[in-house]
Amino acid sequence: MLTLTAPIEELPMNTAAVMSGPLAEDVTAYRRELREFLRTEPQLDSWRADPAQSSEEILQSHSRLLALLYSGGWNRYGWPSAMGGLGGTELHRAAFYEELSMADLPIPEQCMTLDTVGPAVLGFAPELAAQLLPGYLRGDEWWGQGFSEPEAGSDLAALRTRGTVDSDRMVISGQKIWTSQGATATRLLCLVRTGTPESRHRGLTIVLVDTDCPGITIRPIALASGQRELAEVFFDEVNVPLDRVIGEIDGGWAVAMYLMQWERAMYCYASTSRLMRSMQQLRDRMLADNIAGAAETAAFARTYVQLSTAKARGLQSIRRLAAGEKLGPEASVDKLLCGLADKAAYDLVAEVMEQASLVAPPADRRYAHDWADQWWYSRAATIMGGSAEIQRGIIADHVLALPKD
Amino acid sequence: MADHRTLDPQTRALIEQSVGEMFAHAEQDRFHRVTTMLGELGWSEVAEEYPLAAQEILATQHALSLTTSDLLDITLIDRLSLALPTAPPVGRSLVLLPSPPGSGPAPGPGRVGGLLQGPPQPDDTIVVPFIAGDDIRVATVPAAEVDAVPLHTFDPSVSWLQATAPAVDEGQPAAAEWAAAVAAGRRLIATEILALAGHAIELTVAHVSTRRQYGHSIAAFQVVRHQLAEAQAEIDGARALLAEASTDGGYAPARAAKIAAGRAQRVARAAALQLNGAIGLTEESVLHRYVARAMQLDVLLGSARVLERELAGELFAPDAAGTPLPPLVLAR
Repeated sequence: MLTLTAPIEELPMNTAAVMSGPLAEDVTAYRRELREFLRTEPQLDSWRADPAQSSEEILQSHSRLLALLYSGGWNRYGWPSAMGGLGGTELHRAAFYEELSMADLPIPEQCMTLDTVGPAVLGFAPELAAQLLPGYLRGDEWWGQGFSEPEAGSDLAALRTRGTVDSDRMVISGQKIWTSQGATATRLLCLVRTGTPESRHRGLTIVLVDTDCPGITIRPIALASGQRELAEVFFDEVNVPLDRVIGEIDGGWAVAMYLMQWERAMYCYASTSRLMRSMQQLRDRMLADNIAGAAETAAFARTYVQLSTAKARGLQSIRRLAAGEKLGPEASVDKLLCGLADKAAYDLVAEVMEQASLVAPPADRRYAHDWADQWWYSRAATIMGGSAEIQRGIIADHVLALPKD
Repeated sequence: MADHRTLDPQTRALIEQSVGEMFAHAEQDRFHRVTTMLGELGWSEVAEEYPLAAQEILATQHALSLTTSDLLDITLIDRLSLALPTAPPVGRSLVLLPSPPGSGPAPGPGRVGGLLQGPPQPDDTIVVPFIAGDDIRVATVPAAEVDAVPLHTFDPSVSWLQATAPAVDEGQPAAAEWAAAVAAGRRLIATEILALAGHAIELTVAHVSTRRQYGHSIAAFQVVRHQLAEAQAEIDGARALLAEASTDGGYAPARAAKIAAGRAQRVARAAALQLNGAIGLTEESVLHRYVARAMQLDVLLGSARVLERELAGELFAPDAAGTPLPPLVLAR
């Protein structure tokens, strides 16, 4: 079972940027200027009604959106100059997500994975971060997170993909599964077993693997919606230079737990911000279709408050990260609330507007298609990154300190 | 009204202890006037230095001690006074609150109906908000002229009254002051509800940790652990939204925070009443006091259900289409 009790090393994060942008010290000013850009930039309209439908098309489209935002420096705030950022803190990133969403724009999918893996690479492998993360920020490449395996889901420390150190390289064999963006990723941040099979979390190492390495086979996994959002990855004696190790050999668990702090806080914040846009679109459709009876609108209001509650909790954690504090097991509350709110928001569509989702006429084909994709993907919100059951377990163990026998 | 001064944990604990003792010494089954009590404690200094934390500690300890008092009245009058030519006498004034299920004042002037949280003294002043056309106005009426009859309440330990106050004059325009007062009042009630819900969970954690069945403490059963974890998460989430609402100070976040507190309270009480087993339903167990009080407070200034409908009316205003949903929480 995943726990957050493993020791986390003291690491500097967001060290004072050498070349900070003019808005690095002022989130409010950053927000104001970003809002103005999003309101006035004519190119952005093509992402407000994006023709991209498949996972692959969406990632390509979002890559172009990132490039445009990067050219104005907007997504560089919140990241240190050491990786091509313009300085500032996690609060800049949070404001970036909120403003995109309020401007009726998608939050680029790549941001979700960068926010998960970026801080760990910065913290444990600064040279790699300087070399590779600028490309991520520009939208040139994106990475997958290779943690789960067929026999190691919630029980992550049971994973078996083998990493054998051989002089200056590591040879990897095994299988990963449920890798988000895995089918189109340039690199994979993999958690592999370098210790004995019985070493559990003590014998794990994190290593960055290029997906074009010989010996890697990636198969997209079609979800029930038909979307190929996830992938399984096979490693057959894949050679990786040791300078791609993130952190220490056998020190992967500490890196994974460090990473988990941002996965809990930032991923959830981006996710709830994105849901606010979906909720706005739903409200507009309900008004247009004259589905605004007391029961439907009250259900909407309740979900809107539920989402705002998850967001408020996430913001508390983000403020702590921005202040250099560490998140502990209490971050499972964030993850649980966020996952439940995600599902509630997409359930609401079917609940109040079945004629545009479950039995859509031809004119609503696109709406119904997108909703179905999102509904199926939202089911994963309480499964991926530590299931809701795991989160409840962590809260019971470490927040409520309930006895086990 | 941003206030980022935080109390250090030791000072906070000391203040909590003093306020807790103050309320513990207050006689139960009596409607208290807290102004005198707080004066003896030297509360104004704490409130001035740490306004948000002071309010939170006061409301939390008030709730946990199950005290009934004019704390809500004082909170509302503090804002409503700004609309009145002369401030109502401090500690000797009550507010005619909206009658549930209403979340706003009754029509006036004339005989205005509402709810009093406690019995007025003959020389009290009753602050009467009322709706006149599209306007919210506020007047004062001597308590001696107010008709009041006790209400039957789910929580028998409150002493609420149904009241009618003759507001003879046109009163003073008070739309902005009423909005600010209600926001502060709802934050206060939300703080109380969450303190009560949190305590119900604490009592339940203690119960399931000591009660043994099948040779194990019942806390060892995953279904028990997960119910409590979920309730705790709901409470923590609502507390976060309430903290944002307190920093913001505005009407909409305060309303949302009260909705979230009301919803969290429902989840918490369901877990608590189930997991304490039959003993939790008895007079002997103290659990029912916290459950009943939280349910009772939820209806003051609009229950979760009523406020969700009010919010829905705004989100679905005819001219709302195409505009972003108003953000209740923003990173800053």
